[in-house]
Amino acid sequence: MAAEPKYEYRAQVTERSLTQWLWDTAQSVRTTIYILPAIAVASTIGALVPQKRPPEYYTMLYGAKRGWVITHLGLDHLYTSTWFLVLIALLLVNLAACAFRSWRRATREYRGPTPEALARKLRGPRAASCWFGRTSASGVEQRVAEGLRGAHCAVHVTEEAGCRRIVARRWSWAAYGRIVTHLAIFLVALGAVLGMLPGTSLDEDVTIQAGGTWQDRGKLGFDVRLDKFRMDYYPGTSTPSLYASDVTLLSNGAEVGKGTATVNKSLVHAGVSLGQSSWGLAGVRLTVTSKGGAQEPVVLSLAPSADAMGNQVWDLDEQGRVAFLSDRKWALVANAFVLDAVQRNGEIVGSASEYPRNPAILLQGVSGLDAGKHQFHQFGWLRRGSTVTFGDHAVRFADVIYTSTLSARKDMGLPLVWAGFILVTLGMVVMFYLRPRTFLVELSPTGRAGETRIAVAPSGRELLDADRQLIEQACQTELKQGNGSR
Amino acid sequence: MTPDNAGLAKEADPLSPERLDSMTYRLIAMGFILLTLVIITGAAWAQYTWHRWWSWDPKETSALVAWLVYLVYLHGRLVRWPKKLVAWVALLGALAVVFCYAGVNIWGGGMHAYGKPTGGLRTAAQHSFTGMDTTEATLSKLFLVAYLAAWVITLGAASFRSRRAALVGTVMVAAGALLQTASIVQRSVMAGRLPFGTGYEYAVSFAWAMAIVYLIVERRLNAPVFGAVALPLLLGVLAYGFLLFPEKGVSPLPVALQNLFWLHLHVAIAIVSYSILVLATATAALYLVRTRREEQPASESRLDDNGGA
Repeated sequence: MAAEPKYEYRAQVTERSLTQWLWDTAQSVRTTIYILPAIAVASTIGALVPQKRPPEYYTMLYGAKRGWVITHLGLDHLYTSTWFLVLIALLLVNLAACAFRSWRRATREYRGPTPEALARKLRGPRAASCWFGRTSASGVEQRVAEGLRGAHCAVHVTEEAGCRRIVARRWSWAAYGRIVTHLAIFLVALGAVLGMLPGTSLDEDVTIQAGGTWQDRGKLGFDVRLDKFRMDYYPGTSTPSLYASDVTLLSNGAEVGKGTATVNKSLVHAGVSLGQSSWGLAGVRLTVTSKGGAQEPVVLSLAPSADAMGNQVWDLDEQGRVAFLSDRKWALVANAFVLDAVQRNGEIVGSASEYPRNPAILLQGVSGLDAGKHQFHQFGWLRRGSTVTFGDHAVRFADVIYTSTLSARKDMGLPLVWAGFILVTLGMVVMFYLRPRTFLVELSPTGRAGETRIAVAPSGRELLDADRQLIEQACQTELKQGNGSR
Repeated sequence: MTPDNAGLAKEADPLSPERLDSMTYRLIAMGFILLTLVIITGAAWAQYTWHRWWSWDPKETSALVAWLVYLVYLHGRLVRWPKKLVAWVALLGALAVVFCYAGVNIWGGGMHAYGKPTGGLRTAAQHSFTGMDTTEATLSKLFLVAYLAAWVITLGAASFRSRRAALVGTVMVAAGALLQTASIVQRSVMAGRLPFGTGYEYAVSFAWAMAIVYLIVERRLNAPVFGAVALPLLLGVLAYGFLLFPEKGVSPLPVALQNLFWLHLHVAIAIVSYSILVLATATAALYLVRTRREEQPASESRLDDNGGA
């Protein structure tokens, strides 16, 4: 009995240079699989932890230890932290390298196998699928060719040694779907980077107090004056229906543009888009009318603060809650401010909404300042539009003073981003649902009257269901399957 | 990665692991393309309304997270990860979708504050139909009953392997979807827009899309066990909408949602995408259960077949 041959397996170890290792790692799909979850986990943290707040906020919200961890790991500004940007950069390098690696394969797939290579398959061990049709080869050829053309195949017919051969190719260009998808994501990232470059793009928040002018310092190319800020509400509700800023654009003091910027409609001037971004309150404007009829405007300042839930609320500014009248004898002191007063039993008990729909201020006057004998006068709550008399003065709550924040944008990267978005979608559809296919259909007479042998050699290892259906459809129903050796 | 050959084999067992894996992949492939469109339409809308196409808002970031998880799923298949591991990633993806849909509104902040639940569970449960028109409230009660009954019947059909009960279950889901369609049409007429404006409306539309996708998938799979696993997901979305949003009346749109073109386009794609991806959870879970059962020793299997020890 012959001894069984002994086989010895040894792992083949090839030494790679560092450059080669780096390149292999960069273009590996496995690298992608490590980077993607890392970005996903980081982004989840970013979605849960409020971003770009002062350190005290995190201490207050999460406690001293966790707050310290959050601020020291950069989780408070996660998306601009170095390690997150490094992760994004690694992904982009991997993306580009993978696309580069796929290029050769895609080109090979695009060209497809040669008719000779396919013909060899017809006689190979993995024999092609084979049918027999009760018709002549020329009749079948016509039908198959027409059917394949109808199914968006490019068809090429040849005749060799009594056999008719049809080479059909479909969606060859789909071979590049994967590369297009990957490069499109790269394009979006490139657009995003371009949109952040200071030289080419602009991303500026312009905050202006009503009546004031935002002085440009070489960013926009023009100054912006806020003529009026408007906040409308749906009738009978506290839900705003419109935020609008009426602005005048100025260059060297001269008007160069005028219009309204709203949330859903930006004002565009000189390539810069001004959109309504947010609003704020700078103060409360009171009008003090003296006995002689002279009017004096008085402003009490408001400032944003956070409530227990971290929501922004508007309250009196500590520095600006006292206003002295011009005669220096009188002063007005505000003790509380409510945006949307809710009254119960004659008392204001809270705010119905976070919008200044029905603002009220708890006011008191101080007299006798010149004589050194202060005397306080409680006025109670003063609503917008109402007046209270104070000695020989009449104090009227004229209005709140709005600030408006407009986002001034000029994004040179936008065309790249949109192009990337369109390409990524198209690329995915192609990648998932279209596959380049080439197959050879050989028609040969079997020798029996009116019978044709139809053999199919696909470009891949096996005939796909879709290909089979296509050929069956093209040959209509007169075919029956058989083995090639009949 | 074309699903050509991954096509559903014409096998006798409607829940063979190959079939379930293939269905999960097909659902995820479609849901993933739609999720990409959700992110793209969201970015386009954000550019229009917030003047920035991307601002790392928690909602858009969580959509990106879900997208990344499904990318891991697709690449995992590409490098031939074990199919069970890939199925686990599919489950994780659905979790990311749920986080994007509801979790980020509950735990995160950001500019999508209008999707935040407005009431506690108890308060909202007491006001399940508050603010609704009488017809809409009646239709809502009917479709809720239909879906719940469909689940109970499908569960029974799966347990007792009754084809007739399975058919009744499917008919109940179809009836529920029809009633819900009527309710949605009625609300749309009243609001002058599709019901995508509030958290409650979004949940109801999402559940409706789930019902439609469910009927399509169920027709392909033709297995009541799928319904037994998938219908609780639909009921969960409805429970979220009905129990956590006390005010269900038609309310005016916040300023940021006033552009109806983007609202309809973005949310319509989102509910279809999320529905497909969440229902892929059911097929992935069934795949895991099925492969685990097949790995069990024969004696245990026999015990199971006899109704347990």
